[in-house]
Amino acid sequence: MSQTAQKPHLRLVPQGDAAPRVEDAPPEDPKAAVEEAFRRYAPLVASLGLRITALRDEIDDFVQEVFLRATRGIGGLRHQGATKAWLVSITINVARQRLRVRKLRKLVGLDVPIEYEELVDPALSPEDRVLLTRMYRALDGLPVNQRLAWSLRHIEGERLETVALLCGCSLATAKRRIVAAQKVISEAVGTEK
Amino acid sequence: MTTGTERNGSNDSQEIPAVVLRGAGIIRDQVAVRWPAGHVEIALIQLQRRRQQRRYKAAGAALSMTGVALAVALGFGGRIHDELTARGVLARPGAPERAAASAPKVAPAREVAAASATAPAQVVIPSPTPIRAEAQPATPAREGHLLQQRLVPRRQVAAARWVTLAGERRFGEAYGLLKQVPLRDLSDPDDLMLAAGLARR
Repeated sequence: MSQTAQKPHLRLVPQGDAAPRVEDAPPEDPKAAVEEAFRRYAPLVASLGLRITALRDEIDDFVQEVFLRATRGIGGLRHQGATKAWLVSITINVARQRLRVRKLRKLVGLDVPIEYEELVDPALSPEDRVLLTRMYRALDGLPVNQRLAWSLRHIEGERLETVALLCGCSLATAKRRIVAAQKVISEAVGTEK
Repeated sequence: MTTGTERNGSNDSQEIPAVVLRGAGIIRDQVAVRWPAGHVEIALIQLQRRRQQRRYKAAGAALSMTGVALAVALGFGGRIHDELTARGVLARPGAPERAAASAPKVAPAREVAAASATAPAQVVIPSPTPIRAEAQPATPAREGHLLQQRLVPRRQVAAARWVTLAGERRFGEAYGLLKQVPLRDLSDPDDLMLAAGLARR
């Protein structure tokens, strides 16, 4: 088996930054493995979750949920080197769940509007903050799966194969979702001045 | 500004407006969160798991108690209904439906007037609840906060709120609660002491 085949395709942070150890053995102590994963990857999980969901007030709970699931499933992890990719996939699943719940709340009128401008540094220019708000509002209008696919592709810069893997769909479906989302976002944001 | 699409090569090439690319870049570069590393969260996860196990046990006990209470209540309800039916206070089941089925849909006005003149006055049948209320007069409600009236210790209130927040995985609010409540009020149960100690670090 070649070395490239062993490496996960996920590359959500630069490879030089906290590169995971590629080990074929499963973690010896699951509890210690989760603690180690938490120390190393909690900021990654939080940032990724915030960028995808924009739910700043729930980000603490979001990270807790991800690592709670990790605690439950760490026993099934076969390769310690795949911890980061595994956590990212859990993060995407939790994000999908949260976005669906939010859509449901919005449907019944229980959704609390989000101040998207508070997500960024106040020193950012007003035009950029307005653009950020328009982007997230356009993303809010998308179906959850299309939103996830587009975000992973164009915000996180993932390869199409990785997007399909994380979204749990085929490559063609991932492309279709990205194109459909792109059309809506371009109409909502791109046409405005 | 380069996007991830450009870095990785575009297999889903499509005209993306520049403003959308800039918006995606703002989200990628500017939206971030500072996340402090620590062990508290892991401890809270374990705490939450223990709480969940206790909650399952409590739910099982509550369910069985509810079943018993329901069976008792239904038994008493049936006895009261039978007693009232035997005394003639309540109509037998099926009688009103038969009367309604045999009655004409539209009665002449003269018959209605005659019937109303000869019919006895309508008797209001009291429900079983007032009879029971007369037997056991309700105590007047006291003023003030319910929990204070019952003299529930503050630590139990804090524990209940903690359990609720942890059960809903609202750990951020749970942290705030731990900071608000004095540590001496968190001496029971042991989990609260553990969590408070960890939060204090």
